[in-house]
Amino acid sequence: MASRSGQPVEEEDASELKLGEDFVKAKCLMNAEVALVLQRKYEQLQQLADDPSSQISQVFERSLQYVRRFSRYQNPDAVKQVREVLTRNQLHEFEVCVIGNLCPETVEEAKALVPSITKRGRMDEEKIETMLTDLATIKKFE
Amino acid sequence: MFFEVELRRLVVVEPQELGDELHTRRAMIRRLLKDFDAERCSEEHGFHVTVTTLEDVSPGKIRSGTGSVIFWVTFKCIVFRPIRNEILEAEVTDVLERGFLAACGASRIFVPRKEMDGFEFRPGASLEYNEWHDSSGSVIKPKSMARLKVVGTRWEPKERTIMAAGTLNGDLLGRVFEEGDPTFDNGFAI
Repeated sequence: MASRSGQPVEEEDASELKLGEDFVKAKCLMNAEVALVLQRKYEQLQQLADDPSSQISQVFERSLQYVRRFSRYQNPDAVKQVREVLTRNQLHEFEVCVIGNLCPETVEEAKALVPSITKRGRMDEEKIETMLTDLATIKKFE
Repeated sequence: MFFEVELRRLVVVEPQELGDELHTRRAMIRRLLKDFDAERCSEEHGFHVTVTTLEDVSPGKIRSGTGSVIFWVTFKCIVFRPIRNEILEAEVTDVLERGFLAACGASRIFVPRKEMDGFEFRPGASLEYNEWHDSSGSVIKPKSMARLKVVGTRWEPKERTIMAAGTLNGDLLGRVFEEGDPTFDNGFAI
């Protein structure tokens, strides 16, 4: 949670998977997944209106630009497979998306980028390695 | 991080927009989308990107006096909110002597110079030509990609936005190279 009424709220911490009460029931989305949704909406708007830019907000536009540039996967099937691989490894939603967004190549990288995966002995090195190999394969054949 | 959350909002349909059921429903949806975009950003959920699905619409209630009809609408939407200690990639927008600004969707993240160990400021002829260089040859300049860690976020009530602060100090953080970049070298510059 951002600070409320000037008081910093310290409990939010991605490395501990503490996302704040507002996101307890929320689904996290990878940039590549958001790109598919926003691109589809943008095309729909272009068909409906003469001037699509009048229909889209600045937040939408900036978000679309961002996810276009920062998506690691373009193919919708690849995106689905990535989510499947990451989800079956029993990662938290948040971890799934950070890994899907940053694409760590080695176990060391994965642990540095998503420190929560090593906490509470949840995933051993071998499992992480297999998972990353699966992701690299999906990327290769995208 | 992008999240899909469920929100509930009161939507008001003005008398002149009312018609048969389909017409009124369309007016209600238009109103919802407009209000959602106008709200832009909230302290709890961050930036309002787009509405995805309608989950529930209450029966309409007529507001006595104005003749407008109000609906309680539950819907799912995509929002963006930087989370403390999250590592993410952003596009550098402004390079300053005191640090640099990067954009992550509609959100802006400021990385102060003290969170950029090893980098040296190189002023340019004008703002767009300012750069930060480190000894390994990494360059932070406008439009380049940076991988950083969010160290804190703050709600700014006057501008209705969330400001975030970040750091480049840490493993695997710093300038990121894209495929196609002539200096691309098997991944990332450390």
